[in-house]
Amino acid sequence: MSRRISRRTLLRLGLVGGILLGLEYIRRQTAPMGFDNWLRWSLRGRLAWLAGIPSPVVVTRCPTYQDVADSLHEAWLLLAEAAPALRDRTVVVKPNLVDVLPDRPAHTHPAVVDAVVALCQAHGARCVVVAEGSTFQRDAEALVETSGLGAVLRQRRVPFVDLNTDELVDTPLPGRYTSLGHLLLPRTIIEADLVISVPKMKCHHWAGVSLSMKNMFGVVPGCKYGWPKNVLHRQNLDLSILEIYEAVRPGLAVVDGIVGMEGDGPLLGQARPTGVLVVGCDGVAVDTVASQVMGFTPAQISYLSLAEWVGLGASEPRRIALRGVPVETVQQSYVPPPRVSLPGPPTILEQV
Amino acid sequence: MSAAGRTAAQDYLARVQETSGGWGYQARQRAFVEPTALCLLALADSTQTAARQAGVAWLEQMQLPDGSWGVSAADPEGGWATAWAIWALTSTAATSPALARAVSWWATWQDQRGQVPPGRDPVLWLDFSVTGWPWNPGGASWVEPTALGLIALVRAGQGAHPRVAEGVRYLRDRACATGGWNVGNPYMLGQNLPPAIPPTALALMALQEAGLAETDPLVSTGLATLERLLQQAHTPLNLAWGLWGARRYQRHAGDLIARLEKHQAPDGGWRDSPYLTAVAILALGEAAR
Repeated sequence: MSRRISRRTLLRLGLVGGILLGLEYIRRQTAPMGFDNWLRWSLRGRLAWLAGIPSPVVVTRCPTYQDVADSLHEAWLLLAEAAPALRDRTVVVKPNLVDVLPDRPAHTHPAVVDAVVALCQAHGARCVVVAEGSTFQRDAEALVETSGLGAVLRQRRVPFVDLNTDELVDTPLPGRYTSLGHLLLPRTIIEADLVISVPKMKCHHWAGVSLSMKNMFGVVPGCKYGWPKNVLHRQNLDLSILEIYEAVRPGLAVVDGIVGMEGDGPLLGQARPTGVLVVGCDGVAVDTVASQVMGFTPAQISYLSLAEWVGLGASEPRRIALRGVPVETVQQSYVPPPRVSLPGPPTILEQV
Repeated sequence: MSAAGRTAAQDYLARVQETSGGWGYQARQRAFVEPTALCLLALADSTQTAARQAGVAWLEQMQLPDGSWGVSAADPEGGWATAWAIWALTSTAATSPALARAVSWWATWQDQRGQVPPGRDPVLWLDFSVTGWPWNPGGASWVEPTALGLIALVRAGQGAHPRVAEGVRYLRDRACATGGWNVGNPYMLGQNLPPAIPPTALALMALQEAGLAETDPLVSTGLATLERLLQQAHTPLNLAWGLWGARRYQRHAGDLIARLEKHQAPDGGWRDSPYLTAVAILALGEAAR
């Protein structure tokens, strides 16, 4: 007895087949990262996008390093309700002390660290610590003194913690962007109530820019991972930036854009007077605005696009609430870094 | 260094030893393998027998089943700290059963380079076909673990091992244009990066252990660089590392000894750091020899 397949059944079969083929296509495309990760990042990113709550970022003029305290105070007032609580909290201020080289503005200026520490103390922080794990130098004390940070620490009576030799805490990496899974991270960072990223505004020959998110590489301890922090570069730099940022989650970023570094950063670029501070609580948004001040578009900085897509923060202009001076009025045209990509495993994020 | 100053420093190390038997980078910090190994080297000629025995016991207890060491009890993954453990254990009078397995592991452990194209890398100007030692599994080779690797193998009686010669080649390739070493990145996109004191001192010690003559340009330019860098050094860690390396070649470098001794605290230590105190003792004395 012959059975005819109705047109409706045929359509249903076609639909089911199409769905299965679609799922198989997605599974194959997402294999490098895993379907569950891809789904998690996609959903979080779309939810953040739909929620539509803009991230405040403040740009204030700061012509010289003598003006930092006033400029930061102004930024803090403009940040208003978005500013993180400081009272009774243990705060770790993390500058960029990657190295101190003559005539190269590679490190955060001590005046900016001083202003941030003073702000924390004025707002009742229980404990303020300045901490860094230099990428290239074993002798943290030499960096602290040569950079001028030592005098600031003594004046403010604030200790310095060398994150390269701090006690280690096995820390799962919630982002799962790389194959690392977990890292041994410094206890000072893990136990802090608030981490404040205080980077230098710099070009970076591998990442495009080095700002508040990339600054978190300094928390990875050298006593385990060595000098430099090669474990991160070998994992795919963009994904490692996301990985460390999500693990540490700094609650405030203050970018030293008074004199930035253009060209072959993070060490050998040239000074670029820019005269701004960029301040905010969403590191992705802060780095996006700082990149724009440098003259780059978010699309040129791949880790920012990725961070937006996975829902780590805001990189799209409509999701950033700019306060302070308009970017156009302080925008520069930084000489871009020589872009040389590091080899790394291909990922679905790169395809995205 | 005066005998009294040396004894005070060694007494300081004994006082701040963790109850576990190891030492941290800072006093009252949990023990790490690197400072523990350095403290054992610094106490090698002291009367602190109990401290030494406890330190060795801690090291042996920390050894992983495959013969390697992580950096501390928190680290279950073997890596560069193994070289420090080997160096320290070879300095103790008794033969440690941990040593043979450690040397076997260290001699076969190497970096993970994947496919290396022949010749010099066009971006970093480095020859990636030369193998040194990495910091961790899966990493590339770097100057400090390679220098430690050479010292560990030579001290363990493996001076003729092919990896010693290969390690010397690695250090030759990674030397800075002006002499000396930094972490292992002498160039970046066509520009020279400067050397630093600790890796230069350690590399020079390693080359001496590997038998390179002082007249070899690699050594002579490295020594000249170290002496130049030391003239500008003012912090105890750089002074201690630099002086340790220079004194291996009988270079006393002027007033460096006094400058380092000036930082010794009344409690006998330097900066309340067992790690720094051990390096200072080694720099100011001949304990490691």
